[in-house]
Amino acid sequence: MLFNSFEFLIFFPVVTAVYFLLPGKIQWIWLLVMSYFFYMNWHAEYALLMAACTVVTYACGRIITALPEKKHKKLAMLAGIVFNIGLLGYFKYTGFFLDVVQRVCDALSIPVTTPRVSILLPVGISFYIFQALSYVIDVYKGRVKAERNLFKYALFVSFFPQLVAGPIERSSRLLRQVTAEHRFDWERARQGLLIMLLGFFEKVVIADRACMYVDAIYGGWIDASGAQIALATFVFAVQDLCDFAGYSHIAIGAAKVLGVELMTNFRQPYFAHSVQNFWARWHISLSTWFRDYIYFPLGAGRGGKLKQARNLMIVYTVSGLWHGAALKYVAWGMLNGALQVVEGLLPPPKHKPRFPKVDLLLHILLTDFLILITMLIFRAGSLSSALGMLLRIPTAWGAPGIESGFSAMQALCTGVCFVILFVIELIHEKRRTLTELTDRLPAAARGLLYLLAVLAIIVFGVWGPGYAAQAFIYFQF
Amino acid sequence: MKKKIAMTAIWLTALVCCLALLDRGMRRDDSERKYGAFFEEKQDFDVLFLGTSRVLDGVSPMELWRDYGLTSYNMGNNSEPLGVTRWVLETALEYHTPRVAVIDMFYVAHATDEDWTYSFRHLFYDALPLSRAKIRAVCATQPEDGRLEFLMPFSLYHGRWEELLSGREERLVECEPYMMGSEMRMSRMPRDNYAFTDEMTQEELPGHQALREIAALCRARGIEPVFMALPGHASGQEQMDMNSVQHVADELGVPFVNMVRMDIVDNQTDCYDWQGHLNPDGASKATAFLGAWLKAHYDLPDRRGDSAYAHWDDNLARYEAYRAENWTGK
Repeated sequence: MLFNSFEFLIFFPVVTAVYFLLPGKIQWIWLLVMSYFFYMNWHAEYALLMAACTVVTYACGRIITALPEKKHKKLAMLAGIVFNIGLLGYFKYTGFFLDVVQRVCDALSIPVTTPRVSILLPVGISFYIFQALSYVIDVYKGRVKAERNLFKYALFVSFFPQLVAGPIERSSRLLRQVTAEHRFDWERARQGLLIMLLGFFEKVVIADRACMYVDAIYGGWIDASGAQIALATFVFAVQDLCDFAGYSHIAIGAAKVLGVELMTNFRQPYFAHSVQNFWARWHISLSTWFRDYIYFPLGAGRGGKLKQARNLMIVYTVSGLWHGAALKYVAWGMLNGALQVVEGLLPPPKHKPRFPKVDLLLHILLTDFLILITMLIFRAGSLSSALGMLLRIPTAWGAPGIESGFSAMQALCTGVCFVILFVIELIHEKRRTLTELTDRLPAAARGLLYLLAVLAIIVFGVWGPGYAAQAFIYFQF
Repeated sequence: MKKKIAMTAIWLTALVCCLALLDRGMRRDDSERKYGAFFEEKQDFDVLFLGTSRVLDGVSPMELWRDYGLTSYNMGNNSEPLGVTRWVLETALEYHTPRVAVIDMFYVAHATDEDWTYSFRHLFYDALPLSRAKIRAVCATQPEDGRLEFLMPFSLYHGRWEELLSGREERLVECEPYMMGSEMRMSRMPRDNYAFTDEMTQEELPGHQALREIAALCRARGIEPVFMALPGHASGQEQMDMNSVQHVADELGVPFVNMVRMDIVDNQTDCYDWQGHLNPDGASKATAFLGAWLKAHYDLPDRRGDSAYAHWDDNLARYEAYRAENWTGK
């Protein structure tokens, strides 16, 4: 069930209404049932996979708590990690692994033909497995106590707002919240719905319209002009943000309506002044996961710049693989790691800049330029396509180009939406929220503003049979 | 608490009202121009004409009124298979019970779910008010994943802002409400005369079963069904398919008026395109023949002069003015 579907527009109000009508002690059971129902809308049988992940990590947590010896606890933790990474590896990387083996054999002229496999990737598997893994590791580290109730733990793994595309939460934050009793709160519901509204604007109005242009240019890049590729890459950067941040906002808003606070997942990433700062603002729940469970255990920055560089490269290579089973994702991850390594090697400025705001702006623009290059690799069909496109941007800048099918009116609508998004991001960067700003208005004006916003999203949104249903980009991860 | 509930209720009501207004404002108006008068008419029609674009262009209800005093409506729609015509009839009968239902045979060889262009599906369904009959018809004629846009057209038309703002709106049909569902295509394309054939397709065609259902539907309501094939160019295969209807008509005891085999129109002057659709001159000839035939075979009243039908005279005046202004005969 997509957030931007009619089914969800019925599902969510019904789930919310029943949730608050039920006695507090059984509210979490309703959420668990509805979370599995939500997930089973894709491929019902894959709920078994999530159930298996849940049971195994739950059991690991209980065993870790029960065992007295540290080495036995460690074995239990490793068993949980191996099982889950094994699941992820089988469903996500089997085809990639066989492809790499085939390429190597071909390169070495070894007469081996690896089998072609087609395994359907379960939606959100990378998200719920990472969430479950964090639980096992946290129990082992003594950061959290193992949950006694299997079904309450199952709700932590499957909580529907953030099940398929995050934010990837920690049990210390989420488990108690989802199983607690909640009463309906008007103000909280209003705030949650406003956050959802922002998410729908980002996803349905911006991301899904922008993707029409991006798909056309990236699909025909061989004949596209360099200027078109550059523009499409810029548009994709906004599309990717709106697609993923849009999902996160809908998830955070929906959870808030139910009384659950999820973590912020995006903090105006294109206002970052360095690549490192970008990753502190982009997909924060994943970045902090890698930081806490890979980068810190590897030693982080301890042991000198070389070790730090090694650790960064490991983390971002894994991050690349997490995003997709293809060489381009590995290259994308490594490039992000390498850029941060280079940033770390640069000497700090000797003097304070004379014009700090100009200096900050230049840093932001340079960072965005570098991020756009990584985005091109991320979006391209393959690594070789990405290299071809990067080469084509300067060499065919003024070429005739291709017909994008994007009308002037569509372009105007997209441009206006980009400006609105920029203003919203600027407001958030100034540590203000839309709720705060609208609260200054009289109630009637506020109601009218919300009404206009909903109507604008409905009219200008890309939804319904006139448009192909656009899934969220991050569902594939 | 009560205040918040009241405010929320007011807000939701305002939202629903705005959506209803947007729904009306963003729809294509073709459907309303084509079928709107059908739903507005208070009295039952004497005759309903149903079928493909052959009917749409080839039968003029206003000329039937002018010359015979018959009230009729042209429900014809472009590329409409007979399996769909069956459902158009069933939904139409929810609103009017005519004395005679005349069904076009041109698409007898086409199945329900093929060849019916989506725009033309919307042409019919958009004006049809949401009802159980509409839901049944949509379920019967549309694939499961393509039904919502017909039951809730706004899901499709909300994206029309671009078309509306840029003024690039194109008409699907040249209908006006006073034409009672017919359209006039103002051009002339000479066609060679075609050879008649007596051969008929032997196997069961997709439309045959629909004809049986149409006959049953009509008779259950005391309506006389008539099968017809309008004049105009028809290939050998098309004639064979239409000829095969005679078997079904005989089986059901329904008259079959096969005008393809009659010298009613002049192919040199009375068609507007290469497919043999009739222009206003051709439509006048076919309508005159049909009016005479209906009058001869059924006891249909002449309603001219009846004050309850005064609006038909108004419509006729507008129809004739439009025709005189736009049809140069070239």
